[in-house]
Amino acid sequence: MKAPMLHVKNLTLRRKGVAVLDDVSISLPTGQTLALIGESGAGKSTLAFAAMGLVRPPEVELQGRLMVGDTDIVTAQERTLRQLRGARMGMIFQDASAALNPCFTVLEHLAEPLRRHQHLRKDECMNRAVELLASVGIADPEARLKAYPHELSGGMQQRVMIAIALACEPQLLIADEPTSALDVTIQAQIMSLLLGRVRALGASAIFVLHDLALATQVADRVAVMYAGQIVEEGPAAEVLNHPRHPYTRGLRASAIEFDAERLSPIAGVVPSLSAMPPGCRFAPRCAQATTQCSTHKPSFAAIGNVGVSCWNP
Amino acid sequence: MIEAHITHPELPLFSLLDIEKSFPIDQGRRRLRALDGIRLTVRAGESLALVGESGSGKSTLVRVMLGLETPSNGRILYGAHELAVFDIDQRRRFAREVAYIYQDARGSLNPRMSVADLLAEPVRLHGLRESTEIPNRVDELLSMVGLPRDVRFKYPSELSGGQVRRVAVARALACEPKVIVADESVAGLDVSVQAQLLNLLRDLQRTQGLAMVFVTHDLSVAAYLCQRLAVMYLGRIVEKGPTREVLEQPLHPYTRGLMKAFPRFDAPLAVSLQGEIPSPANLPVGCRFRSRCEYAQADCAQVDPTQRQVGDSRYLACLHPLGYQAVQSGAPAGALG
Repeated sequence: MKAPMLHVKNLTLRRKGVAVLDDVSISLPTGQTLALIGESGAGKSTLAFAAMGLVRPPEVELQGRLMVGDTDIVTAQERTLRQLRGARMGMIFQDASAALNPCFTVLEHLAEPLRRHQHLRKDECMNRAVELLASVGIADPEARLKAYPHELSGGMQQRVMIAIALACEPQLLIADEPTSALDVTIQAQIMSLLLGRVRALGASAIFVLHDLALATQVADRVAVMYAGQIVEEGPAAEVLNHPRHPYTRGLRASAIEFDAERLSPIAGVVPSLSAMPPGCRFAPRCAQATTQCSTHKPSFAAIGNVGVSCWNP
Repeated sequence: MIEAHITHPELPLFSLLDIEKSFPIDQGRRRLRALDGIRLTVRAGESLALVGESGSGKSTLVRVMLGLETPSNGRILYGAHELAVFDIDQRRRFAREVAYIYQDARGSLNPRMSVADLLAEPVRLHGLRESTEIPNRVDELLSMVGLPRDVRFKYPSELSGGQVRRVAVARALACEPKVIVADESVAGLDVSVQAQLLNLLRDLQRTQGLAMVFVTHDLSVAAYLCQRLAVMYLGRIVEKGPTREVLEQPLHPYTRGLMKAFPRFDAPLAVSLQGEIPSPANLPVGCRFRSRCEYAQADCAQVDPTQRQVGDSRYLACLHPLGYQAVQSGAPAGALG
């Protein structure tokens, strides 16, 4: 078995003393895709940003191990990380219009990683940029090179973001809600493009998503996060179609489908990170909670090929 | 001809007759046609969803319906009266009876007013309660939308995204309206909060007998909330009918494409529609969906299909609808799908 692309062990991330990620462990085999799902504030994006080495001490306190390939992100020098980011790891942000620099053309955006990491000359950059734009399905790529971000539609901007992230053929791609600002028709186009490119490169990918159905469609594995912890993790179809953790079940019952009769949303709201209950963090909203749940933290246990953190799965 | 006259004895609340709305572009040299040939009715107690991609004209249509924009052509009737020639009293009554929930709920609430003030304002302005009764009414409104009483003294900035939208719903209800018009009111929320809000809106619509016009890009939200569905593409309603029927057997290729693009638990990712919605400044000649339609034929480039009636209750703007014969002969749904 090959070494995992992402290996996180007992990772705790504190921001101003508050644990935003609490004892998170997860491993992603090389060549697979992982979806992080959960509600806002669950720590999905924080975990993705941490893996990219974008949230690091002294801004936050990090404990535990966070390995991407054979690099320890927690202890690595900033210089090492700069060599990784854009070359071996690519990132796609939620809001492409905000992530692209309004003063730079598409070509300038694409040329930056190529010059920085692959030391291409100007004309080589130009040719490669055209190839990259064509590979993300942009028609007439030569003409688009001179365009500024505001001249592109939202879907086009996200395609350019993908081209930038994949410019140096990274081994790990991290996409934070890559399609939440787009129409479903464009979402389908972008996600299938992303998956196709990731598979063509033999890369691994982490998608932060809020759409459960989309997660079953694009991810091999899924990790469900709640209040800074992973509560259930396993093969995507298994976890989302046969959820074991009450929170995953609640998410599933809240997810709207065409033939939904009546939605049964999870009661209550996520507790504040600074006032977490001592036992299971989901206990106050859980219909099956027992006294044990509110006093003792459940440990992560394997049921078949799925890991669940619950006393009564 | 309004379809409602035939099926319904009383007048519909809203009748939109061949509405066109265009905006000048290029220093007035050209006009961008945002709405074109819109025919639509909303009856009392009925819920209607307007669905389509961004740029299809949903929000413009709502703004025209509310009188916030004047149509370039066509007429809007509210009851028996024409919106364009309302006098001051009619305008006031219209403002009370038709409540609008803005897309940006937080932005629509004055940040310097507490929740209690925000809810009391419409009650007071429309003189719906004695001033001594207003605090009770505020409590009543809060409980209708499932908010605890202690949010009364909070300001919008102190509320979560879900709570802000509930306040916006309560403010709409404060006017005791006949129609609620909501623009993307559940977009961008977490699934469990979205589900809570959807249940609230559906219960309100059913128990209060309100009519509702719900603008959404999400077909499943439309299916959950609304009995009728109008699918828009580039300023035109391309398909309209009872939601269940339309979703069980979409006749317009665009409706089917939209449905198939939806992420599902039981089907793989499908790219059903290629390309993007063209700019309304350069409308394709002929059928405006033709550039993305996999069923387009030669005549689609020449003829611009207008809305026509298909079967009892469905309307369609397409020259070569999917499974059209199946509908006419009453064959089972999806026969040609």
